[in-house]
Amino acid sequence: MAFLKRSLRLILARAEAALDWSFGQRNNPLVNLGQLSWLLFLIIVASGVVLLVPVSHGYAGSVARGLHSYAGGALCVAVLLHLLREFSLDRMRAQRTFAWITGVMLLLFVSVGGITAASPLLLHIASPLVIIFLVWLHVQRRTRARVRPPMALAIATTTGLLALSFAWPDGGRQLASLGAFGSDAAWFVVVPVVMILSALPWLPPAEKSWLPVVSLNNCNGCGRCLEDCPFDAISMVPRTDGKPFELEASVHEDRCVSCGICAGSCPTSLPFRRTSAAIPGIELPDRTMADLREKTFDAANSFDDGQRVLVYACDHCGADALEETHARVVRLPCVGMLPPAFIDFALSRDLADGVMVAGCAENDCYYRLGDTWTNQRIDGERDPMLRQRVDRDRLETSWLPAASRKRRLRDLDDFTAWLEQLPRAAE
Amino acid sequence: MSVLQWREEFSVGIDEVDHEHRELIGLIRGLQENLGDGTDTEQVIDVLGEIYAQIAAHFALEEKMMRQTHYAALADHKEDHETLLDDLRDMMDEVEDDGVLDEAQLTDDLDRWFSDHFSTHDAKLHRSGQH
Repeated sequence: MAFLKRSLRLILARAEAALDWSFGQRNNPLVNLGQLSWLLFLIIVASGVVLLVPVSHGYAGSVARGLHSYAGGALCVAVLLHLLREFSLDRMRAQRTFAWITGVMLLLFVSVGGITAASPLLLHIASPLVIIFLVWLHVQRRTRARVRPPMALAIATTTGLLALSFAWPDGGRQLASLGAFGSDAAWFVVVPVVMILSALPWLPPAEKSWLPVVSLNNCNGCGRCLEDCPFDAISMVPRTDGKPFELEASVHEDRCVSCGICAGSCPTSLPFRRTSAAIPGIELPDRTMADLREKTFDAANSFDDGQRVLVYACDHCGADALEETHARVVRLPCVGMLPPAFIDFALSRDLADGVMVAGCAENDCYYRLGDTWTNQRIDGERDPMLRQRVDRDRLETSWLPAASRKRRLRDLDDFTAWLEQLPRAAE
Repeated sequence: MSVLQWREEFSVGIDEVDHEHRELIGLIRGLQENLGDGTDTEQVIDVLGEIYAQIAAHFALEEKMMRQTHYAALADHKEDHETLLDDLRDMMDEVEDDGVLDEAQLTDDLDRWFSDHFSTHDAKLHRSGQH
């Protein structure tokens, strides 16, 4: 299983890198599979409605039929790829099980829609209603679910399918018969596949992870962790320690994925406190802020001559490529766990000449929103904000997919060269 | 050398805000009282860091209350908070960089800094509208 997962991850990463090159990261179809599926679904519904109108005969009718079938085929592929990609990244455990199961159910009903294309119209029309409900369920427990695909990708997909339908309207039907849609035999493929996929989240190897711990001495119930948690895994509950605050943070075990973004959002996650154990209101017990501070010092003390570049990198973005360089890398589960005060700290205490924050490709953060929050915190649009006085010339972000090791190294080289030509900070 | 004391007029009538103000004053006072000949700079930096953490959390909570009550001047008030945090960071940097402590200066700075926190529309806000 682990081997299968690794191979799949490798193949998909290669494909993604290739598509990045032609589409650009933002519009990469592999990064937008969920959104793309939703768009295809809408196209299918729209063309389906046209087909229900009795006047849909002749060329126009066959174009609509072609569009309906092409989009249907594309939808099956997109949903399947979406599932395979999330599986390869092991993004289906703990809190994500819910989205995984609803995703598998979506595959089932997309298949129902396809298989019943030829036969009972009632089932064929009922399936989109179930799909709409399932999509709604699918994006529950997601703060800021991305449903709409990027504009350029949406236009390209729609135009492509339309062009295909106009040029070769009958191809759709051949495609459908090729996929054995409309035949009862298809059930013998779909049902076992759905059953196997449903069981995956409970199969080993599950990675053990620690839940964040709330320290009531440092929590006044400000609620920032709740706002930043991408998995809706935190709620504010009535105070339990008798302090005159109204609320305190509480973690939902079944939803938490241990990304540490809550710790990065806590106003008391600071590197400035020295002796008095620097415990914030909430943090991961196996990756504490005190630990992050120690690692920052260790990195700062181990620089060679030349530009001292300190990298804060997440575990999922392939930043180990930077470990064999002049840079020193401090790892986090997600860059969203990095409180901006650490950047301020490293630069103001002259622990480094420059700080680089390295994470997953933008809009494809392993933990959904770590990149977004980090960018917003640096830009002063989100709490905790990076202090304005911090020299932005000495700060760089590098958002790249795990497979883009060369580009990652180039980012580091560019930043280093940039730092070299900067005037030394006035002491 | 003036030493910061909790005074009844500081009360804004909200338990949790008063509680945090009291704690902050306690921290600042503790620092001021301990400042003197041979004060360990490291220790001062620590306490300043502690004050920074508390005030950052305190502002976060105040901002949440302001959002909940749709306080009109939230943006301005937020900016004041960021400025106050910035000022405190400057004090921390100064102590850190100089390595030498100007106790009188620091005491005055902290006094001024805390009264600034009150003179912003802070007290006004809390008295005016929540209950």
